[in-house]
Parts: sequence; C-alpha cells; structure tokens
Amino acid sequence: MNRLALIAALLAPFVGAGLAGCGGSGGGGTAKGTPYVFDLPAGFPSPRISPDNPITVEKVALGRHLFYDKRMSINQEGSCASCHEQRKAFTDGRKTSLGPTGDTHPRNAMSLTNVVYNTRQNWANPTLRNLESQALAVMFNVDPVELGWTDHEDEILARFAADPVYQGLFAAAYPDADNPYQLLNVVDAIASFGATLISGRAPLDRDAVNASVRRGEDLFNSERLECFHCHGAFNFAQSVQGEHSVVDTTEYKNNGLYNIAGPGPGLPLEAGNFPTANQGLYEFTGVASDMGRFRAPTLRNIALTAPYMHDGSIATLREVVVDHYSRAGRVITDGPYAGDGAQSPYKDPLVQGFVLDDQELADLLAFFDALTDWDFICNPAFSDPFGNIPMHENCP
Amino acid sequence: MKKIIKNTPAYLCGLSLLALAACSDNNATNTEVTLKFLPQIAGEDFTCQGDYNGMGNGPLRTYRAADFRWFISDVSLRNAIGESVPVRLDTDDSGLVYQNAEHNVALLGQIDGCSGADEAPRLEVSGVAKGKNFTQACFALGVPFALNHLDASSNDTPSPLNIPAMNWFWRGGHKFLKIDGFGEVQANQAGTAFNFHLGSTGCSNAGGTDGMGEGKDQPPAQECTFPNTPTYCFDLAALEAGTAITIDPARVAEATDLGFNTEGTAPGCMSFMNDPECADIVPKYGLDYMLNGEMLPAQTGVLFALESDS
Repeated sequence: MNRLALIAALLAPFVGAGLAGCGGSGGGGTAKGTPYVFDLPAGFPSPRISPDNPITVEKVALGRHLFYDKRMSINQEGSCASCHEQRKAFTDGRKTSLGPTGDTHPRNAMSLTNVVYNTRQNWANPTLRNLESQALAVMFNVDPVELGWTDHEDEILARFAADPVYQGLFAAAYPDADNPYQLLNVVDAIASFGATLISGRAPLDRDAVNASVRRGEDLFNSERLECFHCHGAFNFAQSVQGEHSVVDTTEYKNNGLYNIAGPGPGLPLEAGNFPTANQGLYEFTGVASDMGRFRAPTLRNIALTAPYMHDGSIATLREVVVDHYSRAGRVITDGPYAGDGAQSPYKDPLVQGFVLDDQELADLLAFFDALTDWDFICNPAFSDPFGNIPMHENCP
Repeated sequence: MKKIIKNTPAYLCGLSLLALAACSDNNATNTEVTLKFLPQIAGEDFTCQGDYNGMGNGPLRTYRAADFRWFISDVSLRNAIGESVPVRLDTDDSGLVYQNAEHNVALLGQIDGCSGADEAPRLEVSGVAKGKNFTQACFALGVPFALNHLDASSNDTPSPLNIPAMNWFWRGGHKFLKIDGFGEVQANQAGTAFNFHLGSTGCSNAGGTDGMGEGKDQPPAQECTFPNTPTYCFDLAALEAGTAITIDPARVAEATDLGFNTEGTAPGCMSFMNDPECADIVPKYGLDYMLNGEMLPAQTGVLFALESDS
C-alpha cells in the first residue's frame, strides 16, 4: 500500500480521484516467474531494478505486447510505440509528439535507449525516478492527453481481461494473482519491457570503426569541444546510475538554445527565458537559474533520433553542431523567440563554442553515426509482436 | 561503550570482548581529526549561481559560480619530525567516502553540481589516526593514481569514484576539482565561461596519451607525467579548535583575466598543458605546469587556506 500511496501522490497534480478503484490484491511486487537475465554489453554496469518489481521473462513478454497495443489508449488509436518506434531508436521522428486523441505534446519524444540507467526519466521532471512512474505519467497525463487512462482504468483493463492472448500473458506474469488485470501490473510489465531496451554494441563499442570515427571521438572528448562533460561515460549521458550507485547524479543543463527577453506573459525573467510551456526544470522549481534546464539525453543511436532538442527545434545533427554548439548557443534573429542563446545568463559554462574545419565536422558526425547499434535497432525481441510497425530498412 | 564504538574504527576493535579492552587502550593513544571545509568565491561563501566580486584581474572582477566540488585523498596526520600516519576515515552510507588498505578518498562540496538532484553539500570529513602528538593534518587534492583510472561504469568501482560528472573522459581519470562559472559577468548576460578543472595529465597508455588516440580504452600503464595531486597541510591544533579550511579559486586566479579565453583552448583553466589561462593558476595550486615547452615551477599552494589566515 505504501507504493500505491506513493504513486497516488506522484500523480496527484494531474489525476483526479481516478486511482481509488485500482487497489486490491495482485498489484506488483510478488510475481513469481523466470528471472530475466540481462545480456549486458561490455563495460555496462548492472542495471538498478526496483525491488518492488523484480524483472521476469514473463513480465517482459506481457510488457512488450502492451507497449505495442493500441488498446492501451482510451480511443484505441495509439500505443507507447506510436511515439517510440524501434526503427527510430524508439522516437517518432516528429518535432513534438502527437497523442492518440489529437493532443500535441510540447516536447520531442525521448529515445528509450538505455532508459533503465536513467536517474530520472523525462526531459526535466525531477519526480520521475523510475520506469514505473514514467509509464504512469504517460498513461494518466491529462495536459496533454497521452494514453488517456484517467477515469477510464477499468474500461481499458477490461479489454485485456477479455482477450485470450492477454489472459495467458497476465497469468504467466502474475501467477499468484486472483485478478491480475490491475493497473500496477500493467505498469510493472511495461517498465520491465522498457528495462530490457539496452544498447551498447555499436561499431564504436566493437572497435569496428575507421580513423575518421576515432578522430571524431577524440574531438568529442577534447577540452576544445567539451562534449563529454554532459555526454560522458558508458551511456554518453550524465544522469545515469547502476545497481551499485549511491549518490544521485542527476544533472539538468541549459545549453543556450533560447534567450528570450522579458518579463512578459509566460516569460517570467528579464533575460534567458525559454518559450512558454517548455521551460524545463524551472517549471518544477520556479528558480531562475533552472530556466531552460533539461536532462542531457544519451547519444547512443543519436543519428536515428532526429529532430533534436527537447522541442525538436533542430532538424539535423549537423545543425546541432554547426548552428548551435559551435557558436556556444543558438541565435534566433526575429520572431517571438528572438535572442542569442549564447548570451543566456543561465547557460552552462561548459557550452563555450569552438571552430571546426570541414574534415573535423565530418569526423564528429562519423563518430555520432558509429554510435548506432544495429543489433539493438533490429533486435526482434524489442519489435512489434503484432507486426504493424515496420523495422528499419537496414534490418535483415 | 557507545563512545568507544563511535570514536574507534571497527578495524582496530576486532570482534571479541578482549578486543574491547584493547580498543579502549587504542582510544587513549589515537588522535581524532575533523576537516571542515568552506567553499568560497573571493572570500564569500559559495552558493549555486551566486554572483561575486573580486575574482581575477579583469576590469570587472566579477564571477558567477555554477559548480563547486572536489576530491581529497590520502588524509594523514604528521608529527613534528615529519612522520606521517594515515587517517582511517569515518564512513557512512553517503557514498562520498571510499577507502581501502592503501588510500582514502572523499568527494566534497556541491555534490550534485547545482543541477537539481538536491544532494546536500558535503563539507566535513573526519577520522582517526594511530598515535598522539601530531602537529599537522595533511591531504592531497584529487584521487591517487591507483584509484584514479578505474572504469567509472564498472560494478566493481566504488562510489564516489563512479560519479559521471567527475569522470574526466573515457578512462582518462577523474576531475579532482570542478569549479564552473563565468568571469567578467554582468547582469542578465552570460559573461565568459571560465572553469577551474584539475586532473592528471601526461597519462600514456598503449597507444596514446591522456585517453586520446588508439588504446584509449586501456588505463594508463604507468603514473602520469603530471599527477596534479598537490598536498596541503594545516596546523592540527587550529583544526581541533574548529577552524575551517577555506577553498577559494580567487587565490589562484588573482593574476588572471577571467574575461579572456585563448581560442582553441579549454574555457578557463582545465589543467591541460599549453593553455595560457593556466599559466598563473596551476602553479598556485602548488603544481608544476608545462606551457609550450617551458616548465613553470610550482609555487606555494594557495587553493586551500585556514579560515583564520584567509
């Protein structure tokens, strides 16, 4: 019950009384089954798995089905996979995501590559500490509506209870439950599937790269470009943890993407504002220096996750490097977002700009390409069990 | 009983009742020490995103701080004739102190780097050394070679050596000091990024140096040319009287314009060789510095100072 209370508290800002009906026996925690054994890439730490949700082969199988099933949305028009396609490293290719009910999300869909290692999920929500809470947030969000579960839990759960395929999957995942069709069982299964999405066998990891990639890697790790400070270590991201981590290493950074003058409606600060409704950590803390701070995402499979940034406002990696980071922040010359991000008072001091010649730029982009893990992108274990979502054209 | 356990590290006490008696004896012949640190910018207490005056020698001398954390290691006590005894640090479940038979390491300062994790700053380390009549407490800034190049991602690498932000780059070791911020800053502007980072340099392995080039995934085969782990010692009586040790980059930056950065070098002084912005700063840590083939000799280290002296 503690866990339910915690989740209810977590959801309180955007869920009404809808959770009242979802308690009862069989939720989470006690599942028997076949322990899932991670096949970890070299150099990857053991992932941290919630003791409340031990990962089993059966829960992963159920979660994979639910992840790809459009019955997970209130109007049966979209699933988790609608915004997280394997062929795009579990993103959707859109600037900002479109929910099944037609609501536009203010932010770009994040890759699910290695999400189990994130100290926080989401671009800048410091309350989402694990995959279970992230799944709940997507299911119950009302502004915008994503999967639309709020006030419709029983209706959606009944769809699965009536399907013989899911009767088998739920019974296998939760063999002790009298009634396994519980909200938290759905959440735990999706979180379990998400935890298996581990990518660490890219050409760079396998040393199957040419000299250009190696030069690009040296540039990436150099004190000229400073990329590695926010995109370092095994996941090319800073806010990561493994099973044995102790200290909370979450870091949110302002990379100088916007610098809108204010104050004005939706623009609370004199300088450094980000566009309304996309102001990052500031939306949670109200602290000026948190304006525009977002979690630096993993760069693994980054070549497949265009467009880039929290709002999808940069189309290509070349533009990310040339138009944004090389000048220490993006300049927008006119319109409502006009301003020079390089001059934002809240920008991180490690975004300082650099000059690259054409060969160096090509090397850096080759390095990004070498982070694409085709074993991951083409892994059938992560693919759509219903066969509706196509695989990447490069997959066998 | 409780006092004995609290004040005496378990490894001295053993398990038996007999050992408890020995423990009491040890207690009488041990020396406890607490190092209290005070991170400051130009004499004012550090706060995240705080604005300061009196940094560097540019026209404005302003600075806005955005990060402030550092490792210390090999804490020891010394007596009047220079004999050194290692301190066994008190450990807790914070993950910020690690020690083995040879070394101790602690991560201090703004543990979350001002970035939203809400980890509390860590400003104190305490422990005990065998013996009495010590006159000084000493520590090194940084991480000793034997621990510096552990793979930060490995299950076997203990906290706090596995914290990504203090990882310098792929197997290249740790950042010993990370003070980030902007020099010559004015209201509502960014100013000039000027960061104070320190780490070992001239670390060679199979095929390259400093973690670059072929063989970068292997730890260095031998100690780095510039370990960059200066040792600081302070009067033990002053520490026992409760005097804090200040750490203040203004003391190393007094002759450097923090509004200027040489193009193609790190923003500020991030300890790599041949960066003109380091020429006056690194020697003031108490370290030799190589600038374009010229060795600039170490000066008296002034990054740390007793609060009463600073």
